[in-house]
Formats: sequence, C-alpha cells, structure tokens
Amino acid sequence: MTAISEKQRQALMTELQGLKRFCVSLTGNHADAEDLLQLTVERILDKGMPSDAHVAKWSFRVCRNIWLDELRSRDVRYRYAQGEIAVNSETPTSSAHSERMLELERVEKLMHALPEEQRLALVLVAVEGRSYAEVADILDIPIGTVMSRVARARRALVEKSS
Amino acid sequence: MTNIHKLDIQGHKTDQLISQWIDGELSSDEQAEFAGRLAMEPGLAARLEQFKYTDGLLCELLSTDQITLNPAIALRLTTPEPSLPTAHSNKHGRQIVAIAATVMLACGLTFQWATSQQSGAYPIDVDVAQALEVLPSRAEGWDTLADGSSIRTVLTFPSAQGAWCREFMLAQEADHWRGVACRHDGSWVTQVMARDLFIEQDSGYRQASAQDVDSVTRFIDQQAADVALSAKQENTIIASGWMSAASSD
Repeated sequence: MTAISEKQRQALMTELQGLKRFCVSLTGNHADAEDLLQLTVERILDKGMPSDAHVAKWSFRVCRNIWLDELRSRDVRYRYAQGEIAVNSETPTSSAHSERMLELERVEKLMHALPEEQRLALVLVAVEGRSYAEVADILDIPIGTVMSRVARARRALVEKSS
Repeated sequence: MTNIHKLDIQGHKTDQLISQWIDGELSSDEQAEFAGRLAMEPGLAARLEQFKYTDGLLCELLSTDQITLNPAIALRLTTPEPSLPTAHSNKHGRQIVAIAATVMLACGLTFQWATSQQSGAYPIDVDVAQALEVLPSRAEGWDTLADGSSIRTVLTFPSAQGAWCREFMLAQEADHWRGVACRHDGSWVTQVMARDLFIEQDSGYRQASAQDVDSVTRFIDQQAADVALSAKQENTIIASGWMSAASSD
C-alpha cells in the first residue's frame, strides 16, 4: 500500500464533515472526537489506502479501529449510562434556551445513552445518508443487522423522549 | 408474557418498516404497500412523523460541527505529499501551501475569522493557540506543546486591521512550519503557514528578509501596521490578556 492518491486525498477532504460527525457519535464528546479525527486523518496519510478503496468506507473503518484501539489502550470499557435518563430534571430552565434548544439537548443525551452499535448505525444512515449496504460494509455487519439497529435506535429515541 | 413478546416483535417489525421507508430501502412493491398502509393507519403515519422529526433533530445536532485540524495535519491533507523540502525547493513548497489555503476554504475547513480578508485564515490548534496567548517571543529555544511538537513564538506586531498578530515556528518530528496567527474576538486564527527548514540549518532560524520572499514575509509586510513589539511591550500586552488595542502609536 502506498500513500493516498490525489483523487483519494480530495475525496478524503470532502468526507471530513461526515467523518467528524462519526467521531462524535463514536466518542460521545467533542474533545475526544477532535482528537480521533486528527488521528484518523494522520493514520490515513501515513499508511495510505489501497488504490481501489472506497475513501469514505475506508476512512470510517480506520476511524472506528483507532477508537477501539484507543479504548483498549486505556483499558476502559466505553459505557454509556444504562436505563432511563432524568432528562427533564437536568435540563436548564434558563429563558435563554429556546424550546428547540431543549429538544436538541434532550436528543443529544438520548443519543449518547444508546448502545454504541445502534448510535453508529443511526448516524451513518440518518445523518450521513449512507445506504444499509454501505453501513454494513463500514461496520462489518450483515445488512439485516443494520436495519434492525437503525430501527431500534429510532424507536429508543422516540419513546424515551416522549 | 408470550403476548407481550409478540407485541414487541410486531412493534419492532413495524418500526423497521418505517425506517426502511424513511431510508429509501424498500422495494417499489413494498413502497406501494406501505403507502397504502399509511393512508389507512393514522397511528403508523404518526409514528413515521415522530421518526422523521427525531432524525431532523439529530441532523441539526450534528450539523454545526466545525472542523479544526492540527495545522500540521491540515497542511499534509491539503497538499500533495511532498518530500522533505530542501533549501533549494523551499520556495516551491511555500507556493503549494498558498494553494492549499484556498483548497481548505473551498472544503469548509475555515471561516472562523469572518472579517478577515486573508484567504489563508483557518482555525488553529488549541495547543498552539494557548502557546501564542502566553509565551513571550524568543530568538532561540523551544517550548514543548502537549502533543510533543515544539513551538517558538518569534515576534508580535499590530495588524492594519487592528488585531495583534504573532509569527511563530512549529516543529513536529520531520515537519516544520513558520506561520502567522492573529487574535480576533479572543481567538487565534492562522493567517498563513509555510513549510520551513529552521531545524536543519546549522545557523538555526533565519529571520525572513526582503531577500527571502515567501508567503509569511509577504503577509507581515502587507499586514503589519508597525514594527514588532519590544520584549517589554510584549510582556505588558500578554499580562493584560491581549486587552490593549493593537494600534501603532
């Protein structure tokens, strides 16, 4: 494998926004997401990718692998809070917060409370607009599993926010 | 218990169907069938709207992210991978970086300093920004950043736009840069960066001059409203948290 081609480099730049969102969905916070994005781009630039690789899929997989490595190296199991979240009791009541902002805060908390596998599938499909087949390829799981995870994630978000 | 289990499975299948509809994953026959159900089942239509609404929130939640890449990585990403520049090839390397700045703008990597007319303005690494905020300029020696890279703040000057600007040098392993960042609304924003060779040269860093025309020098020439601050003046402005106006008097 050699350094990435000019075409791949350009494609990688156009993928950065999506890659950043993927990092946020993986790490659950913006600080770690920033670091993960840096590491992902650096790893791709250092290691290159196969000439026939799909840049987006390759990048997402590199990103996920780096995060898994990071978790292992920290010897920390990434776990989000289980069970119900006391969303309303933690919500700021300042008049400066619009109802929309409150909803966004609520959905953010609920997103972070989802199991990682559901969160990743949902972000890739609902936010990034990837097909189930693409997500199956990125996450290395069957298409049926993608379908199930996306539906479960949406269901959890709707039911816990109502 | 069995009935509840069946209900749950049925509910999951329905949610899966709604998801497939939203995501365009149904065949044409399945779409037609689902559309028919939507017309007949208000509960199903309401559930669909709930899913779509939550999707919208999710997109909004993640849509405002700004990308701030480490300058070293940003430069590598936006320029064709060059070999380590030599003194002979240095000027060419800087021309590539100037092009890269335009590419970064086109890719939405920038825009933090909205009032800037410099096409090379882009967000700066948080560690570099912190160093620029507090470190005095020095003629030799280096300070180590959290990520292990080395920085030397070189000089401070007021820009024609009334901002404080600092020239700095940055070294990350074999990658070396020289750049200028300006402070606006409390944030340091890179205005120009160019690959440099200051580590390899036996004589150390060589101050840019009229004979060493490059993007950094040009920027300073064009933007500086006055000569660089003295050490005493610089200490005063750093101690004030950069609160004094960047005027030339």
